[in-house]
Amino acid sequence: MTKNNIVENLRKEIENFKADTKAEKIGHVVEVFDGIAKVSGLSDIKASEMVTFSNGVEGVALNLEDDSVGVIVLGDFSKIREGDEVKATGRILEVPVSDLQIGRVLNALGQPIDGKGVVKTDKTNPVERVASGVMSRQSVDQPVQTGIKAIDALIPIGRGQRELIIGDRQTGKTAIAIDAILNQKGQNMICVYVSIGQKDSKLRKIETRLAEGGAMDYTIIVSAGSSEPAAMSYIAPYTGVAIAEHFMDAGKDVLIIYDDLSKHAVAYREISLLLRRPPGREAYPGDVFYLHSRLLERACRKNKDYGGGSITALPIIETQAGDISAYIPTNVISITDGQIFLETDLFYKGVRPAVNVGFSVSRVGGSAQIKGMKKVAGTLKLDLAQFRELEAFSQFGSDLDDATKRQLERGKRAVEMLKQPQYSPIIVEHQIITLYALVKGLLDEVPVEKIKEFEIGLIAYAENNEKTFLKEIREAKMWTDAGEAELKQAIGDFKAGFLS
Amino acid sequence: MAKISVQNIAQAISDFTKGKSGSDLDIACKETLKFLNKKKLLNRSNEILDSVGKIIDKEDGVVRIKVLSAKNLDGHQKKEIEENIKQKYGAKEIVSEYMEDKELLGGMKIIIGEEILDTTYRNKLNQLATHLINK
Repeated sequence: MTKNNIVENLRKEIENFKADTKAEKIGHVVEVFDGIAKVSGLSDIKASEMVTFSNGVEGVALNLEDDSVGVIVLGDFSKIREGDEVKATGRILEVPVSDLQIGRVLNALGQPIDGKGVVKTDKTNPVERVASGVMSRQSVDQPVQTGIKAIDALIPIGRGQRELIIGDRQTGKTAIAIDAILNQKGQNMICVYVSIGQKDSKLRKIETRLAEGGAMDYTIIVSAGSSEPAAMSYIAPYTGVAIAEHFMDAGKDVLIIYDDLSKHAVAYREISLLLRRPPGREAYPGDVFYLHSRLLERACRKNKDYGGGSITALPIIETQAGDISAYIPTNVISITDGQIFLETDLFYKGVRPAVNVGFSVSRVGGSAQIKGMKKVAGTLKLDLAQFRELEAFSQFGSDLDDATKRQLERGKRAVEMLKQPQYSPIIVEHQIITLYALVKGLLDEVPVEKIKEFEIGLIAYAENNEKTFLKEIREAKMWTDAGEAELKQAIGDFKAGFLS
Repeated sequence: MAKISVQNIAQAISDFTKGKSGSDLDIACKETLKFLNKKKLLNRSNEILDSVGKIIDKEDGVVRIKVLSAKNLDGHQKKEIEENIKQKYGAKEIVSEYMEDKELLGGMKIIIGEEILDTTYRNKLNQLATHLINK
């Protein structure tokens, strides 16, 4: 754009601009502390209405009291002084939404913070919106492929489901979420990653990783960093879901990750205590359940009449010393449609992803699993359950009958097979081939320590030689007898070469 | 027990002193003071008195306005403003305060109770700046 052009454009904009003058409601700041402002006046204000302070910072009215209003300040509160004018805007808190936000990093107010310039938007969505009603919904029947074998086979997630990822610190919770985003390439899915109270360095790492994997082409990051006020952390997940709803309303499928809701609850506790709301269990306010239930309820799958879009939510909760019976974990477990439970012990034993298959469940995902996967996963679940039972038992003695030994060996191979390094999602067809080989006992002769090597080799071999089976899975989601026979033959051939 | 708000107290004081004059009003004021002292509310007396003032103004149809302008207004302009506000708010009486503020550049800002009407150039420039940034 040339200089003349810029001047011309500016002139046009200024000529067309009309300042509107209308009577506005005002109040005055009585006190400001820790991101909360008490404001006198503003007698007609609505709950969750946006206000503007005289220095341009925005706020949200949360507490409407007899003679004052409690406002959370969304921004720098150090420049707000006592007696400052506060204007009511008449609008409920809303954020800009647009397709152009894809690939960008936004703050909790939907403004870009990645230094790539402004995002032009002409639409806004309310941050707080009542979730879709019963009549506009449809049951979950399409899978979300995370590319992680342990999850896609045993704890399947469907489009529109809410699946909790729960575990102690450093157990790979975020890694699962990031892998799931990376695997959405070409799966017709928009991803929203909401980072709540995370270190900026961690977010930067995630952003770089997603960009390297080409995932920023369909991902939006919403971030409320740990250096920002608690109010930003409080609204960030609602902002994320408001953006996700924009895509869902357009009939698209969205995957949203809240990383993590424990920090969200802590931010809300801070705000509530500062607003002098009565504390309850663990000092959380009484409405902390509603805080998360109204957020997660907005994840849904709409039926055809309403566009057929969906929002799949993967909230993350961090537990302390594996205590899943604490207040916030139990709340979110009861709200979601299942949980993926990660354990420190497993993580250090080298089982990564450290998913505890026994404690993890998916209450609705089963009906979304593709037919072929359902077939192999059923046997796998049984194998693993028997293995867990026998494992403890077998430590007492070595005199075990052949059937038990076989069962133990199979279990060991199943555990080995479900291990998967980070950032290496596997497509569902390949997952089915390897799991098929496992559950049919075709791997029983392969030594446990060689399972990984075998798996990689088998996938490459099948990709080159086993076109029928793969084609059947891709198109019909299930194999035919002919395909199965060919696959068996191919696995046998590969095994013969591998073991020799 | 629920907290009694400043507005409740102000309403009570206004009702209590309504229609009283002379020695009756003196007694009423003394009683009010005693009550405020007993309830340890004297440190909030300014707030309470402001509220009482607002309640009485409302009953008497008095509207208080504050006009800020870049240049001093002349008598004719002031009268016009007061007439307009009287009509708009259905007021019996207007109590006005005029102030000069060069920062506003032009136009004026009228504050009526909790409402504000801002026609200043400063405000328009701010609006233009936001518009251009968002464009």
